Amino acid sequence: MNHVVRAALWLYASLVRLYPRALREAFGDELLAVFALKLRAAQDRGPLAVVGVLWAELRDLPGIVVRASWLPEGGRSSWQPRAATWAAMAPFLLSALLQAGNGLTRIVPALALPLQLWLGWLVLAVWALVLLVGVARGLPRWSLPTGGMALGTIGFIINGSGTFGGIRLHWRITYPSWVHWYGQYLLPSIAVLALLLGLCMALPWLRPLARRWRDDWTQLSFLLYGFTLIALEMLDMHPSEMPLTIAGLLILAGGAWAYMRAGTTAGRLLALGGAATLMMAVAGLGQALLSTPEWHRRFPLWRNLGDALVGWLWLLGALLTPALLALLPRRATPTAPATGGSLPEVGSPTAPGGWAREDDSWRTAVAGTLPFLAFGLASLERYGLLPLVPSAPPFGLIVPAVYGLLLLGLLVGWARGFPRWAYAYLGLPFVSALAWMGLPIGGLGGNALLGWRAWLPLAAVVALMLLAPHAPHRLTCLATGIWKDWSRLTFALYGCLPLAMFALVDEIDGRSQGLLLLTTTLALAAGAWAYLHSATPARGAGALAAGLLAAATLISVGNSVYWGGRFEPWMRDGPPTWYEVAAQGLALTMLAVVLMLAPALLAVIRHWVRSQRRSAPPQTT
Amino acid sequence: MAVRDEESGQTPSAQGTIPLRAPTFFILLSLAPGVKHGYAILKDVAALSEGTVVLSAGTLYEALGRLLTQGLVARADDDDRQRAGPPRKAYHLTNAGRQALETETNRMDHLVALARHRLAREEP
Repeated sequence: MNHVVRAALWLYASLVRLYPRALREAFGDELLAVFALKLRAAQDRGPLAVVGVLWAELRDLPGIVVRASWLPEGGRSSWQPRAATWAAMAPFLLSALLQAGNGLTRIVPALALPLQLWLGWLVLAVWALVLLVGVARGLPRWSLPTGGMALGTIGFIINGSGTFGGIRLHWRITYPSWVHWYGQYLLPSIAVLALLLGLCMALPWLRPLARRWRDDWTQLSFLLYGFTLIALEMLDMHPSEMPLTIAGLLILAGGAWAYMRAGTTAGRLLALGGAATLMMAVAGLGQALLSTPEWHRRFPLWRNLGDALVGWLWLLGALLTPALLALLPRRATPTAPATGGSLPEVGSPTAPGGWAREDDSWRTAVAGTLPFLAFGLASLERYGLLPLVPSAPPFGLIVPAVYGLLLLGLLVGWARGFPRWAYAYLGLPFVSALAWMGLPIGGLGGNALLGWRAWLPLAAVVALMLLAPHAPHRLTCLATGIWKDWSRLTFALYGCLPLAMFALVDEIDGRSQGLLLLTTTLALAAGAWAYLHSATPARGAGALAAGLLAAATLISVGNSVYWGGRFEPWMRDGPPTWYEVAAQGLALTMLAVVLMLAPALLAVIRHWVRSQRRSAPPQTT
Repeated sequence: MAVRDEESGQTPSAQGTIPLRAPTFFILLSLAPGVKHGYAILKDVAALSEGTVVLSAGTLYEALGRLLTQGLVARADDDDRQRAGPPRKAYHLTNAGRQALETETNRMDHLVALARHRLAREEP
């Protein structure tokens, strides 16, 4: 087999990963086998024919992805929406109709009163009908956006500002200044949704609904999607308000159509996230570009665009919030052991050498790489590379947000019996609490430091974990997980690296430090991702070693460039040379490699010894 | 509120598949004589269409997945046990698939007859 064929096979194996999961799982092996046969046949016709075979696969990929993901019923299914799809699009199309009606009244003022009255009643009647029929039928998908609008209305009443149905609301919730106005609308709706979900889980006759949402959490995203049209409020009083709002609403209707057609979680999320993104792009850019000089004087361009960007992030965050449902432990089935519940059997006999290839879905990858990515993104914000928070609350938003994420990861990992990804959260909360003791409290207490208070959230989470049901079993899972797969200990230590990297670049100025931390944490995240997808202990150890070495190299190079020849008043021996700094970095890296990778290397050796024993012929007596 | 455990979905059927797309038509036609595995279907489709329809592996299996869901084709065991290598999966036409193929052929027959009739009538 020549190099071209080998490269084509490797490329195609990578390409197959881009196919929808269902297609991959059903035909993965056959796809590779048939492609290899096609290559063999093309080989006689020369390298160009081989490239042609690969090109044909590449060319067909987008169409296959669309057909297999978005048209699950397949065939020549009509592109005309069915009744259910029309119902799902109804809230957006009806809102667009209202907007168009309002526009018409400006052109023909005589029509204003009757048209607005009749159109208003018609739209309200259809909304009520869709909602009532939807509720009566157990909230099927098509009714969810309308349900989302109802949810948003409840959130609006909870917020208490302004008037509702002619009744003045006398209360008003005050939010911290960093909560954007989109957040002020979205947060109460999400809170009501969480309450509703809790009710569904608690009441036996509503449990099927909770189970359906648990199985396909994008339904809750679709519910919240019904409320995303509130973002078009940004166009209020804009000279091009009507056409831009109608365009935004039609885009949202298109998103609802695509959601109803999509057959996979990724396809559904793509439909909702894509439509929300396009809607915000059209509204934000339209608002900026189609403005009058008067509008520009009142609202500068950068402010409009920044507003749209923050709103977009809030929308995406809201649509992704239901993904947390997927992390909840599943209810134990009657056949499961009473003490084990739904917890996995760690290091089961089917896992030779304690290395079982666990769930390698995107959820696992996100969960395992999130602590690293969070540090990287936090550094972007911390050093002003991406100013997302206009006015930070006391002692910053970033520290509590990252800390909260780490604690949440620890809690979810505990609830799920410590799968491999959860070890990334094992050490970092403790080291972080230790480091953050030195942070100033700021607005809360003058110049005082956070001190022992830094441990309070962690102590609360640990207490919750120990008091929760099945705590001894979960502790056993943690211990046996490490005992049967020592590389998990390495991964727990690896999880502490973002903070160690931060300590190493702490004295570097501003943005250089931010960029260095961002690239370093991305390298660490890539290592964690590769570890979680490794098929053998050796590959797992290699992935972590590669991540560590890449991060250490970046830090060493950054430090050498920054400190080489630089003099600071606190330096006793004069300015260091770049190679002295590099040598220090190398020594530290070697120390970290030895300390951190030792358990993973032991796991590799143990795995090898066990596999040798297993393959040795049995001795006869 | 009566909550149903599952939402009512569309049941796969052969209805609504006519007219067939060219690759689907040729795949069904290729399976009409009997059982074939993936690569044999690819070669047969290229031969039947005289090189006008050359399927990529991805397109073939995306179509086969759809046809399996619609019940127009079904999996069959590969009887070629003498062959070396891993076991291959083979496919055959179901009754519904044969019926869909016949319906599509009749439809095309009708179109061709209509076209011939119109062309013959317009000749001076």
